[in-house]
Amino acid sequence: MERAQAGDREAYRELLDSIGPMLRAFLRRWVANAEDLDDLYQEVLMTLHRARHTYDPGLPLEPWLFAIARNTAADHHRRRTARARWEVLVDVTPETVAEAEHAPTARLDEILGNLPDGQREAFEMLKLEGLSVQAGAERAGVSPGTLKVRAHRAYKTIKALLRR
Amino acid sequence: MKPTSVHDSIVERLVADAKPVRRLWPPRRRFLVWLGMPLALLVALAWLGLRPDLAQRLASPLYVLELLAVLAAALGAAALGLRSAVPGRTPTRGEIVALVLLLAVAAILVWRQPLNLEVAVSQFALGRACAARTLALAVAPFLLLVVAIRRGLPLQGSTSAALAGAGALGAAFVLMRLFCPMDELLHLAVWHALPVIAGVGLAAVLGRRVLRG
Repeated sequence: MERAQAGDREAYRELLDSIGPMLRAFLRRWVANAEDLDDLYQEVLMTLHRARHTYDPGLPLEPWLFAIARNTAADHHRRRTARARWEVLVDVTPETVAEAEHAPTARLDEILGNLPDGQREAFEMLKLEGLSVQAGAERAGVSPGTLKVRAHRAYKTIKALLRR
Repeated sequence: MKPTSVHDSIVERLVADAKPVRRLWPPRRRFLVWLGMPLALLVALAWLGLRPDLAQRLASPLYVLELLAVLAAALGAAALGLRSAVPGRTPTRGEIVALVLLLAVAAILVWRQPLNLEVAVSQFALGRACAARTLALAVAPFLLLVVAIRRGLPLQGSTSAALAGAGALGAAFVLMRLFCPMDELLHLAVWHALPVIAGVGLAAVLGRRVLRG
């Protein structure tokens, strides 16, 4: 990153190539479909590009990178939620049959979409990605105890939502 | 490894635009530069004339403790505000709690000042001047902090702005306590503390727009 800050294009390309898969895996927890993921991924890389002067080479890259990714993803999610409020729901859509095949995934996405950000993040990291509590806590920037509490609350919320 | 074509196309664009960038100064260095502003204001106030009983007041441990608590909170808020412009270095909950505790200590110490309604009402004009001076003293340090924060990428605009407001207005509060000779509770609460609280709230609201990363 230090070389990228100095304008070394090859170093910058190498860096972006190496963080790409990790970033996409991280962002996959925030969005339901591939199209949204691509949009969000591009948005994060643009923000990272705009903010590259703020990186301090004396510090680890990951917290800086994931803070940008997390914030951009949260913004994206907020915008989507706000937009969804204005959308008109219809009983039958042409995509209904096609979507029915993915009903369980859609239901899970819907339930996860209803969880508060922190709880969703905890659930996805521990149960969908299979991260350890320690690794998840480091990525989320919270203590392991906090992550466990969030995950526990997420289980309770999911249970309640499934009963509805 | 190149995971997608979306990745390839965005990387091409970004790499093509990869000019050298001037790295953001570390928060500590930016803080030290900022600190020059409140110190300059202190020198200017000293030149205008501090409160006549200052030496006597400085002999009171509670007065000194109050000033130190607000000063520590103000400097801490400014430092955290500058740090919040660096992704991944936003203030922790513990740091915010520490600031609030310092302010709570200061509030308790201000609360111990004598209440004299007659004096507070008779000095209404002086009170208004104190509020105006508090806000005026905070303007330059606040703008300097906002400019410094905007140089980075504040991910939580309202938090960064509130911290900048708390830093600048807290410093102004301390300067005014060295300048204004009144120690009456109502005067301090309404004309010294209230502008600080209102200013921090306003900064937080405006910061959402002005300091969005």
